[in-house]
Amino acid sequence: MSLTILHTADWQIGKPFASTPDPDKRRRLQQERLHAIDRIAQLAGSESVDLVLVAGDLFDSPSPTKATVSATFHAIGRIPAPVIAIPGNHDFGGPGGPWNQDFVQKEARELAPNFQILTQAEALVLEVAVILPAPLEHRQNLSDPTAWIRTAFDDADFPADRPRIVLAHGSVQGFSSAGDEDEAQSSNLIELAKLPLDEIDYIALGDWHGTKQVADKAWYAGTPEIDRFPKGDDNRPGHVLIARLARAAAADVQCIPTSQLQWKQLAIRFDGESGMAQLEQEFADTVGTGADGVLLQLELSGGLTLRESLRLHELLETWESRLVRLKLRDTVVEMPSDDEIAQLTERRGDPLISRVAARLVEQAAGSDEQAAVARLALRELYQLTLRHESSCA
Amino acid sequence: MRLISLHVRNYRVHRDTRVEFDASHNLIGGPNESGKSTLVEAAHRALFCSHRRGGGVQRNMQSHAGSGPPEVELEFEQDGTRYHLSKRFKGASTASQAELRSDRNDRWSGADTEKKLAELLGFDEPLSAGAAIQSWAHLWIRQGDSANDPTVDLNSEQSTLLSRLQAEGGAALMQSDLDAAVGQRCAETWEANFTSNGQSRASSELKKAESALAKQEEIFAERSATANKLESAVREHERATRQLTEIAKTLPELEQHEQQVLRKITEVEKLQSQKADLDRELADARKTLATDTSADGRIRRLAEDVARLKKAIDPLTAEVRKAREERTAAEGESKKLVALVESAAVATKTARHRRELVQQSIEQHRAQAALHKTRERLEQIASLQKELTPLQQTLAGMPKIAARDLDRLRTLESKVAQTRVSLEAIAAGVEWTSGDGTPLLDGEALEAGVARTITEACDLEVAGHRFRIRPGGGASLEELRSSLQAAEEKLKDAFESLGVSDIAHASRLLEERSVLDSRIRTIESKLETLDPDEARQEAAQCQRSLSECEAEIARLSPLTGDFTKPADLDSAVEALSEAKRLLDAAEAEENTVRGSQQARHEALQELIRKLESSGEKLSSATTDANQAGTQHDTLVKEHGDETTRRERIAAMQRKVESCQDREARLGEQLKQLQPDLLEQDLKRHRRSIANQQELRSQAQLSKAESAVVLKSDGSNDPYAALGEAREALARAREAHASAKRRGDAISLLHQLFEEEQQRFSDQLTEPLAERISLYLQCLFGPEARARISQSGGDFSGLELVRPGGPFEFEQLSGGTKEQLAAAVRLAMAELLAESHGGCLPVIFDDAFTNSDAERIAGLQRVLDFAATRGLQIIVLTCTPLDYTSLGAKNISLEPSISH
Repeated sequence: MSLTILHTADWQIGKPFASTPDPDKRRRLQQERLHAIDRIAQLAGSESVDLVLVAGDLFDSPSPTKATVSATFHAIGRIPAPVIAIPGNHDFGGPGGPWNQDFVQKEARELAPNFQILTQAEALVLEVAVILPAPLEHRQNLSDPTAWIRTAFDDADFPADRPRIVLAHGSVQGFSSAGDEDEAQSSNLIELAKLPLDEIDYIALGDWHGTKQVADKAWYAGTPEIDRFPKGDDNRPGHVLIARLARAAAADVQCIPTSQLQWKQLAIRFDGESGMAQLEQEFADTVGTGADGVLLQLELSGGLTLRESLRLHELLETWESRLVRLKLRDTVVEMPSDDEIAQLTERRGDPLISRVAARLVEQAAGSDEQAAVARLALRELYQLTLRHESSCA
Repeated sequence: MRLISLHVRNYRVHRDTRVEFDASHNLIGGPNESGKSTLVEAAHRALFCSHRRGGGVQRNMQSHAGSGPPEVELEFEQDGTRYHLSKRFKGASTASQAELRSDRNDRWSGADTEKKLAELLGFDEPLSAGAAIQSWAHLWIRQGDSANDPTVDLNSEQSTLLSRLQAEGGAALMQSDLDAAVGQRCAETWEANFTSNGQSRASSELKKAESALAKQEEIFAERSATANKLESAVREHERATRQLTEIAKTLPELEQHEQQVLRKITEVEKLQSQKADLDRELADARKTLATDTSADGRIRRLAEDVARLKKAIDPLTAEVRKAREERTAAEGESKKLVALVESAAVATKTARHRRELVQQSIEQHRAQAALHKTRERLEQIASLQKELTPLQQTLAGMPKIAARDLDRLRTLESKVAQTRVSLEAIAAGVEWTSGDGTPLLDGEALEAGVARTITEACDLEVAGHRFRIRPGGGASLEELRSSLQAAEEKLKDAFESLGVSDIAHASRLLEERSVLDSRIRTIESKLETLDPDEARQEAAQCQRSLSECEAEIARLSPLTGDFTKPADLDSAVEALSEAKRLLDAAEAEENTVRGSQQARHEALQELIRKLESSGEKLSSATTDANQAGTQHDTLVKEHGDETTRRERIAAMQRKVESCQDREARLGEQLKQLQPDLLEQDLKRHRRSIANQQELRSQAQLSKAESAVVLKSDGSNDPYAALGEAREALARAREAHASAKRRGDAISLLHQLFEEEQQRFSDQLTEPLAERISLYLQCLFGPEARARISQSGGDFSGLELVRPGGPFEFEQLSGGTKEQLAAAVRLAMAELLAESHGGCLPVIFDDAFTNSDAERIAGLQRVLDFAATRGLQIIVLTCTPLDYTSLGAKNISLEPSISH
């Protein structure tokens, strides 16, 4: 018996994207996650998927709002296949988790009859497959949620004609979502090696937001809509997996991109050679105008002249408004050029500005806060002087 | 400018005054009201006041004498040119004149004069009326203004001074317009963000960032609390669930333990019941054994007692018998002794009676003798009384007359005789001798020839004529006759009362009575001696004693037996002593016998007691023996004979042993079960069960409660809200840090601009301060300096720096203020003089009124120093002697000149 599944995970519906200050942009980020479900529905149709498996973290929070829940199940209800999910660490199955809430159960029942959440660690025998779920009961589970599967085949008599699929959420040896933003964890560890792999045909994993095969039969589907700036080259989020399975046969796994928003990264160190021009060029190369659904992580360091620094700030203001999100790490230091210093300190006609500028230049040397303040003051003076000079002229 | 001469006419007090000035040193002296200040005012008006000026100013200038309009001529020199200025002040009238001539033959008149003057004085055009009055106030120092803060003057000449100072200090120190504009912008930005004391303003970005941060912190704390509450509820729910699972496992185990213990306890209770039965059986057996053993013992002891008591009765019986015999013997003896005592007592009694009889006999004899004597005395008394009685009867029959009575009779008789004599002496005799008719005397017809004696008043009627005859000439005859009648009656009464007929009789009776009386008294005296009452009492007494004795003797006689009464007293006395001796002997004999009888009686009593005691003992012993015998027999009847008893005791002992064995076995079984611990075990298990049940209900409650907390209504997502708050807080912190840094940058920029501007200002004022210092050193020594600051062109903060200082202007004394102000003004004049050909006249009009003589000496140094530096010094004073060392040209004004 051959089976086509769509393996996905970490939908993180309802994720607040709180670090995005603008509420409209936050809303857009949130909405895009729901749209991802529609794209999955399309794929499920086009790929004739028998079963959609969600390996945990369907919701971002243990307590999603009603609106989120309704919208989610409305979208799930449109998937033309049964959808089976397990609770992850974000939407854990125990008390306080979403799956115990009456309105969640009600909306699931009414809007998504094709949906089933597996909160118990027991095998689910379907017409087409045997599902071995490893639901997470708590946010942090110290014991391996798949432990029960190690002995699940000892006396159980599962139908021999259907593929057996482990559905789990957590970290595997040497590989976890820890450090992947702020989630440092030593719990929810899955020891794949201890599973009776001969009895299993596919291990559908969630938690790691990138798409990755971590063992012979084990895959992380990753999140279908990217929700964070990726780290490292091997982190490829924004996909779902279409796997064609049969009992005791190697899986045929296909990785399909589904993400809509672009999460880009750019890092520049300003020194004598690379200045604002280079930044502008690289920005254009990477994100174009920046107005087309892009989130950018921009790391700026080094030093800029006063003029360039002013230009940078103008640019940043523009980009901030265009981009869905500008995540800026700016350690750029104002470094007035010799010309700029001379322009301020060697003004025969304006002895006061010269004196003040000279003293600021003196104070601006150094890396402490006082020096930073002095640099800012110097930039301010530069700006004021230029403005008044032009107006006087 | 330098003043050369001044000529004033018709100007207030001055009619025509002319003054020539020295080029540098001038001292204008003169008393008050001599017109010194007026002179200076006139010069000032000439220079600054339009000649066409009218109104109060013009009126004030006019001469008091009213002779013509005020005229002022002033000669001065500026930039090498001499000018002659003349003005006539007559208001708007055409008589007002102004003319200015130079030694270069230039001439100006009217309005041109005023224009030229303004030019020479450094003004763009002639001054307005108000400005004119105030001009050169800093140079021409009036009395009363000298101690004012001179920085005011500095500021009034600000622009000129600043341009002079800039010229001195160098152009590099001038801030440019751009400097000023940028500095101003910085100041504005700073002021928009900060208050004057450096606090951020409410409207500033920093303040907003601070508020936003505080708000976000609050929101974050709030949402953290909510999320924590949910997390706690999750943990609590999980904990309670875990606990319920554990309890579900442990509780049945505990209940099983409890059942086991309960079974053991039932076993123990069964054994204990058996043991209790056995205990009762054993106790009964022991009790029966003890009763039997005890009865047997008692029967044995009773048998022994009976034997012993019977043995003791025989000697007691013998003892009683013996005692009875002894008592009988003693009683016989006692009776004999009683008879003896009785006879002795009779003898004693008789002896005593005999002695008393003798005694009475003696008394009887003595009484008889006394009675006899008394009777003799009584006879004597009776004879005397026989004699006395007739005498007393005779006396009693006689009138009781005394010598006194006789005297009174004699007196009365004598009085009667005397009265009669008097009466007879005064009586008249009437005798009718012849005539017709019968004369009537007191109605009684007189017989003719019969004489009649008339002793009392009477009526004589003769032939119808009645005559009142009064013998003795009136009433005296009548009185006399009454007296006689009274005397005679008294005498007669006296005789009658005494029972005598006449005095002789009375005299005789008196004598007889005297004889009788004498005899009676003699007899009465004898009777008194014999005392008849006593004699009669004695006789009665003696009679009584005798009767008593006789009665006693009669009583005693039959008691004395054969005893003869003594015949007389002597033998009686003798018999008495014999009787006494016999009585003593009898009494002694009686006592002896009584003593024996008493002793015998006591011995008998003792014997009786002994007998009674023995009897009692015997009776008691007999009773005891009988009782013991009865008891013994009763017990034997009850408990059987000895053999029976012994068999029964042995059987009971065997039963007791058997019970003890069984009990020991039961005890061992119970010990194995440890009943004490079982009770504790049961308690322990039940306690644990209760604890577990309590924990279970707590856990159930806790689970239910946390489930309620965890129940979401889906209206919001607290975790998402917390995430948002965390990010918003981070942004607020970042914004705050950024605002803070920008605020700091603004402050720094502003501060630096201010500091640098101040530095410029200090550099600008330095030439002025240096000049002032030079003048101050003339007064206060080489260390004295002045300090003054300037900001935006305004001068301020004038200070005198010298040892102990610096001192602000207002801190200084009045004198020092004057001196510092003078130094500042001179320095200022020096600076300003550059625009006036290097010289300016500086006028001090009594400007040092607060300075002492020593300081004025120093001031002359200052003034001289100013003169050497090109200034024209004009000092007006009413005390010119104070300024002798100035070396100035002396100009004296006398009040007389002007008037």
